Amino acid sequence: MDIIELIRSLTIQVSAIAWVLFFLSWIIGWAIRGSPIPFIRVKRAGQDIIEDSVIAAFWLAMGSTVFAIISYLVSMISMPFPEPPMP
Amino acid sequence: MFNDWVLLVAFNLAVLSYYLGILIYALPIPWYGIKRWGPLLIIDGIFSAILIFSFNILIQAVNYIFSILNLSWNDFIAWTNAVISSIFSLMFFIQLVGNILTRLSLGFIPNFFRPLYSLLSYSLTSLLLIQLIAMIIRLHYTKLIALGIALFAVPFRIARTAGAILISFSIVFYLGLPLLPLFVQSFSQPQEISTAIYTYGVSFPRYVIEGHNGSMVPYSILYLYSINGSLLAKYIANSNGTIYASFPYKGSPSNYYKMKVEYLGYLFDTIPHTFINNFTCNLMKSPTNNTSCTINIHVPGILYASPCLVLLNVWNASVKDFKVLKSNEIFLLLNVSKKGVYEIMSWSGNSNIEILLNNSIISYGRITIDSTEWYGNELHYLKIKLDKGLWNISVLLDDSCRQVSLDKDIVEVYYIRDIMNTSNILEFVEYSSSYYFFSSIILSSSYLVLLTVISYGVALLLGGRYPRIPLRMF
Repeated sequence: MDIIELIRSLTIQVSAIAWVLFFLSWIIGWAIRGSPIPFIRVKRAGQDIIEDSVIAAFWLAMGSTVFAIISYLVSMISMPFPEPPMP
Repeated sequence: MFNDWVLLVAFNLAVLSYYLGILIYALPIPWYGIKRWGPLLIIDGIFSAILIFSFNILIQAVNYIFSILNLSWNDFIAWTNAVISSIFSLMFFIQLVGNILTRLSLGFIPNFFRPLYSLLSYSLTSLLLIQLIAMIIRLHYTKLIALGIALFAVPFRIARTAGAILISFSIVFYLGLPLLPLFVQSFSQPQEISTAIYTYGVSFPRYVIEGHNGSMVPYSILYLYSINGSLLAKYIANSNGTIYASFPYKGSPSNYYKMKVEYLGYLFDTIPHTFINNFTCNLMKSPTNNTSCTINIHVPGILYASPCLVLLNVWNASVKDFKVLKSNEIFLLLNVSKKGVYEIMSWSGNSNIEILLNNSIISYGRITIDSTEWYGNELHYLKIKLDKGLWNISVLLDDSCRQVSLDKDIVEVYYIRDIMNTSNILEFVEYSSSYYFFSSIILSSSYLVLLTVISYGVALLLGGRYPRIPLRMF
């Protein structure tokens, strides 16, 4: 297998797992946060997990957009350089 | 092609980094030791992607700075080649001098040159190494930068430092190495030696100048010319007709030179006339030969020479016999084939002269005596008008001749001191060896260390050791 293909398939698997983990985190986070226990620290951990999963989902959804924006911005600034001054 | 492929790999690695970062971010565990890798990997992915898409800008910028600084790889290569060939010539020369000294039974002296020889070898190795690095950088710097970016994009910062150093090394050395000659030359210049050494070579022979029948020609002046006629050396023979050009500051060319001998106002051709390649003194050919190098110069135009007079081998008349008694009585038997005026001899001093032609006193119409000055000596030339036939000429100088003295008005031209512009060849060897050691090893190494330090700085800027851009996610 070509190394590029290998990395691409790895990336697809990683993104699929990331989606799954997002759902899992979201569920676990809400489960902890909504659990009928009086421990604030535990509930805060649940809150953190929910926040992280939402942020992760955001960046996951933005993935291809981020790289497209980078490519666009770089192509915007790659203008020809001025002629060097002659001594 | 290679660059595109490497950049594609790098881009895929950057994307993988980014998604791995998200995966870690999304882990449902409150373990911050692991979770902090999430935003770090996302930033790394984005930064690597910026670097990948900026590859062409980076190369253009480097080429732009290269042209602004007016750099040239050709100048750099010409400089290294010139220094390498100079070092080779000097090594060859040290070998040559060593061989000469061994021949002169001074074999212990070449031992002193051995450290210089080693210094030159080290300099040569160092220069060849620099040339190799320069060649790799010049031909492959874009590939090295692409490779650096690919290493930079490997997830979890495994090869980030290596990648950053590779990128900065390529950029800094591509822009810095062509300035090495300027850096070295700003410190000191090598002692200028004439290019004569490469064309005409060097030898340290002993010249012996002899006349028609093998007699020595004392106090004569030997001129050594290049093939195109420029003077390479001018030496005065001693009372035995010998010139010692074997001193370190004298020397002689060994190839492509011709010679003439001057004595008592006459300029004579010699045998040999031209040396294309001096096999007699070719030390590389027979370095173990212990006899010192002697070149016998035969002057067929001189029949007899003493410190005060010269008897010519008369042109257009065959000399049947000649005799010189007490250095002032000369008998000459000439077979003249054509009527004409013949130059017989010249002498220095103020002697009265008595000439007998076929044992009878010569009439004044037949002879001419011209006078002139030759390097502070009063000279007289004798010419006789002769018809065809056999002539018995006897010349009697009333006073013993006055020996010529050439000390006052004549200046010798030493091949090494005056033509090669170095006071002493041994001093030159010592100075040049230390110069090349200093410039090729000390200065060049300092410059390379300087470039390496700059590369390290640029690598840090790129985030080789730790992220320099304090971008935090929330």
